[in-house]
Amino acid sequence: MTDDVIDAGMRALLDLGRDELAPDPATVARLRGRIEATVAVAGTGLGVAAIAKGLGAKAIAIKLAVVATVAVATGTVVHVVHVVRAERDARIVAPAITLSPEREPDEVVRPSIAIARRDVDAAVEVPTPAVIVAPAPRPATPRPAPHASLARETELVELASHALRTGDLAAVHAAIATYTHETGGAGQLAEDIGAIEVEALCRANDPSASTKLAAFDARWPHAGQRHRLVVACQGGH
Amino acid sequence: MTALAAPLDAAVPAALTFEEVYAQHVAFVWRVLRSLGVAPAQLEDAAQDVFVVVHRRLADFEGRSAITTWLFGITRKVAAKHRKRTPVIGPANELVSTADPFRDTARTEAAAQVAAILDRMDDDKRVVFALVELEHVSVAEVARMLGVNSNTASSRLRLARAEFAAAVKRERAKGSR
Repeated sequence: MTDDVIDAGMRALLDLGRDELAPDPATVARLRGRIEATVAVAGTGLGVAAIAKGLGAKAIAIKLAVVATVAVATGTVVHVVHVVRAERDARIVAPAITLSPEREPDEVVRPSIAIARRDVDAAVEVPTPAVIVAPAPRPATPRPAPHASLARETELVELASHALRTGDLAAVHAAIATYTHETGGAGQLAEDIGAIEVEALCRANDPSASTKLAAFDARWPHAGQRHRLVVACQGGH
Repeated sequence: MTALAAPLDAAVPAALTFEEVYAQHVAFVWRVLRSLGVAPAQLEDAAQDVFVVVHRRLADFEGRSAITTWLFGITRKVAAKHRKRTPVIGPANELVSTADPFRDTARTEAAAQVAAILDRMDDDKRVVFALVELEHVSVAEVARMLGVNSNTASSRLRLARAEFAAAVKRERAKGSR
């Protein structure tokens, strides 16, 4: 059998079909707007985290200020997302912000912001941004996994990636732990976070790096990050 | 400045911005999602997910592979998630409805016919066929994208082409009766 089983008429059909199978201009524009809104939402979360980190959060007063900032920001976020999603009958889940007053004075406060997410199977719920001040140390009961939205996953990958680039390995592992906790290790970006973890271990000359790399290879034998990991791990040892 | 116009990491090749990637490859992502089995009703959500990841991860794109290969990797992951969420059901030639009623009928019919034939192919053949015949990706690159060797990709393509040709001939035969 040769490749010319596709005759000129079929090629013309494919060309016509190709153009028509692409999204129309209105869809392209609408999609772009949705992406922009989602990116803006995630950016707000990252910005707030950065603000909190910069402050050091040594006093309750500062924490409360962060809470207020987050409340305002998430209110805006919810509004933006609600507007974008409304016409698609999407459900918006209220962001939950948790701060623990028992944190160590020099501990970085990282407000946990559950970014509004879509759940097409559920009815529309009007979101009310909720601020919860935890009375005890970090909640022992993990949230059911996997539940993280893609925006949340990308936020955590971004945090881990940024920390890796700046050499803050503790922050890398913190972000990875959060990711694993929130996704059950089965997120859409598990490969990306796995690669970051291996690279961080290699950079730290951690003895478990080779085991992790082998596990990564076994799970994602065709990973695009493979080359980068090899370079990082060869350089790290 | 919009969020999308935010400056990207210095690691991104100078000429490669999110705007460019979106403008040049949204149709590619859309069609690949379709060829990976994402239901038409889910395409917009899935494409949004792909480009949110692209926006976040573009700084990590090192340019070692073609941008389409990188995009395909993201698209494949997102497609897998959306397929789990919503199994593809419904008529094989279900297409995304367009808001424009004045689209050329021949093009719409061509798209419906191509989509229907693609939907009847198995997943492995469909994605190879779509990448080569609709996206004009080389077989070697498709093999890299899918993590299979070139012979496997070529074999799938050959079978898919034969299947496509046979389906078109059947339609022609029906039309000539």
